Amino acid sequence: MKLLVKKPGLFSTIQDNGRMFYQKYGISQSGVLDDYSYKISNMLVGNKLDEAVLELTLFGGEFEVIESGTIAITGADMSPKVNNKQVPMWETLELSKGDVLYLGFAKEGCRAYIALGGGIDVPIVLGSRSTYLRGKIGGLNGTILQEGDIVSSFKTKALSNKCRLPAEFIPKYLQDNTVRVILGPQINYFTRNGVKTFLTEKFIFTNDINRMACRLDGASIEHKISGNIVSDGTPNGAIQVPENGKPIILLNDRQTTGGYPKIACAITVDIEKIAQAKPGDSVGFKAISVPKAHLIYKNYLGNIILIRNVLNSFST
Amino acid sequence: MERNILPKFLPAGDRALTVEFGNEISEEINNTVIGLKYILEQQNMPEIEEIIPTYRSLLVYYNPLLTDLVSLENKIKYIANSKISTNNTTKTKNKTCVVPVLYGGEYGPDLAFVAKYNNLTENEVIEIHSSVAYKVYMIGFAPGFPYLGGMSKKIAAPRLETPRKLVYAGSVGIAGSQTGIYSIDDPGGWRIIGRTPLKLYNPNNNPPVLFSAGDYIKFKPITIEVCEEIKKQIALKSYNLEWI
Repeated sequence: MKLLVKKPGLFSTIQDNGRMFYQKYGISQSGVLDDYSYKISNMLVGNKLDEAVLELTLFGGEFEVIESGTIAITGADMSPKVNNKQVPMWETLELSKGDVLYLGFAKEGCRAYIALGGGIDVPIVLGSRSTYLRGKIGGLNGTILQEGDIVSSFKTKALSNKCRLPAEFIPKYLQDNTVRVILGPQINYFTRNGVKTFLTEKFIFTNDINRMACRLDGASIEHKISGNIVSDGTPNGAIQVPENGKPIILLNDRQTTGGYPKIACAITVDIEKIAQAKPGDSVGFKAISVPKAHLIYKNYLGNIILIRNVLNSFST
Repeated sequence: MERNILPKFLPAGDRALTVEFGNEISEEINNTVIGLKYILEQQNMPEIEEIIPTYRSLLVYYNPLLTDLVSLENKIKYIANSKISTNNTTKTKNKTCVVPVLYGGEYGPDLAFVAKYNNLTENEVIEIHSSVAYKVYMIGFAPGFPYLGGMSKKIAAPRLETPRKLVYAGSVGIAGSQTGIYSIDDPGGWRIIGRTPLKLYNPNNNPPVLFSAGDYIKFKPITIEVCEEIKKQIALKSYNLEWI
């Protein structure tokens, strides 16, 4: 299938699982911010789970179908319409040549995903199709979607079976979330009060949120001495606190190293909650142990397999 | 000075582990970090996905389906210990790459400032800057950006008060007593004293960046003619890096 970009939306990129093995070269991992919506979107069009999809931010844009095919829209609710008629999310949609797909402002959540049957056909650069803006690679010419771009999918056999995600698996995007974290690695850079502030206060997502990081506002987290460290590696979801005491959550396009102390890191499974938060939404943090986080992660992957089996049994 | 040769293990989320050898910038600590990185990379450890060396620690990304924190820690501890007992901590490749630089003029607009700030002539700044080999302590901040150590304090200079909106890739700069090379076009506040025609980041190459942590770099002043010639050779892919 082929989509012509009529209006590119606010910030639309092509993303997949992201880049591995290049962070030691200073190259960010990139990849989808909301793994769950990503995997489900691929399932719904019969793709492998790691095909490249479109990630749309806050405002979706307009696309004209110039070669028919199937899509599925997941993630934030941008009131998707085809030819001005509302269409459902979280299920397979068949689009025909000439159809116009429109996605507006996100009512719930922040980022929507569109999978194309066959997966988006762009070259693999350094092991991934993900757009990495700062490195000018991946996606279409290493940049965000532009008016006039054509997003094509790989050729695929006849239309995949249509299916719909059962309602109990559709996430609700709340305006107030609790994100579970592992404390550290620089927890000892903060006073006892600073850690207490971090774990008991609510923080607000500012307008300064993007694929590199989300800046939060709220109570100031107290350092023991300084808001600087000798730079070290920055894992995904790391929550760093610069001198001003306001936390910054690092995401997939973050710099690979950083010089602010990290009070905690969000667990892998909860990064999608951060990805779906809009400016003005609030978040609190809850500390858990690493073994607990691993159990949650394994349950998450188990759930993904369960959903795939459920969808397969419906569609055959 | 008292130093922790044995690393501290600090969880960094549920997929990474920080292996920390200290919290300062020192060649000894950095050698230990890079030494352990090489040794870990030589082990067959499928549970390790990626290792990022920094000034004073390794960030080890692991697959939680293949290991747990305690097993991984113990394994790294064992490897680190046996490495230290065989006194093999600093056996890393010591190669020095010559980086040609066109100093001053339009490519190095802040050379005059750095000279004046330190009561030196421009030539003396060039002489001092290009006389020693700098260690690449780590790569970070941007694709292929090397954090270099070992610059003489005689040519130290403060950052610009207002950063430039665009500094071209290849620009060689000074910030405080650090020197570095911009690897991509980027905004920045370093004092720019010259530019190299070398491409520190090229996604079409494998590896996509010129330098790795542990390499050494020596700057070599060149003329505009040589600079143009090197650019041509790079475009034709006939340029060979000079390692000494």
